[in-house]
Amino acid sequence: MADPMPIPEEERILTGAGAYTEITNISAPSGAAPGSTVTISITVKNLYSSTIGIMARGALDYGVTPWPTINCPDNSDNIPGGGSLTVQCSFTMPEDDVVIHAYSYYYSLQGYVFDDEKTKKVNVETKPVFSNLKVTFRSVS
Amino acid sequence: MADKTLTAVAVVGGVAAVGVGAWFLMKKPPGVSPEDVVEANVNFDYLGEGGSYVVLVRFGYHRIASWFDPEEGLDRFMQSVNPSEPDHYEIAIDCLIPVGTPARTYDAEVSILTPSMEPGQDWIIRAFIDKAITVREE
Repeated sequence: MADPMPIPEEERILTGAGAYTEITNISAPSGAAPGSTVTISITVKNLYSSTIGIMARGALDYGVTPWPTINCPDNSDNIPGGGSLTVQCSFTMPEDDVVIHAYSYYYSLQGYVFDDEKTKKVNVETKPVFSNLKVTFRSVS
Repeated sequence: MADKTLTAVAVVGGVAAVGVGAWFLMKKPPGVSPEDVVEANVNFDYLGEGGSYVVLVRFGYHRIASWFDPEEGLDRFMQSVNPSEPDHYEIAIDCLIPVGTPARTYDAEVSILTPSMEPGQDWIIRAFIDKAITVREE
């Protein structure tokens, strides 16, 4: 793990980025069918001049509390200055439109510190996912 | 000549009777007893790109239109499915008929839902089968 970063007194809120990291992209489909597996990627850029530890996570906002977290395995790494961390995540599409909240963190003496947040909406697709549902029965005893 | 004609009519009639009998047997819903297992063979076409779903089979009473009243104890036969690509899928669900199930003929409902949906309350697709099984006296 890279050396822990000091927590800055002022975060760079006005730039739309965090103190040391910025979520530069959330790659996700515009729509998905209920129950389908939605695969997304979150890209976080290291705004610092040298290597720091960066982590990305995500949560889903669709009217359920607490917001379910998104499955993001292998979501942290040491990233050189100016470099980016891209994390692959997935979730099961609920029955409602969902807003993805992506979060970035940098590694400090206090552990990972929240730094930046971006959102992206995924709409529920209404096109049919299943058709020709049939069932037959037989006794197997 | 008359005897041959009668014989031919009898043979044809016999074959027809056997055929009709076989047809009735085939049309008759599977008869089962409590503690028997009924296999539900569910077929569907999946049009998505992959996902996690639940197939639910319930036995009960198909009223009018889409109104279905499940019989207690026969309302939670479920199996998870994870179709990965558009294709035709077929799964088998074993339905154990519990002891004490009233003897009668039951309709069936099969539905596909997401894991977060409430079984019996929500579904993506649903179908009914009238007179699906007959439960005999214990």
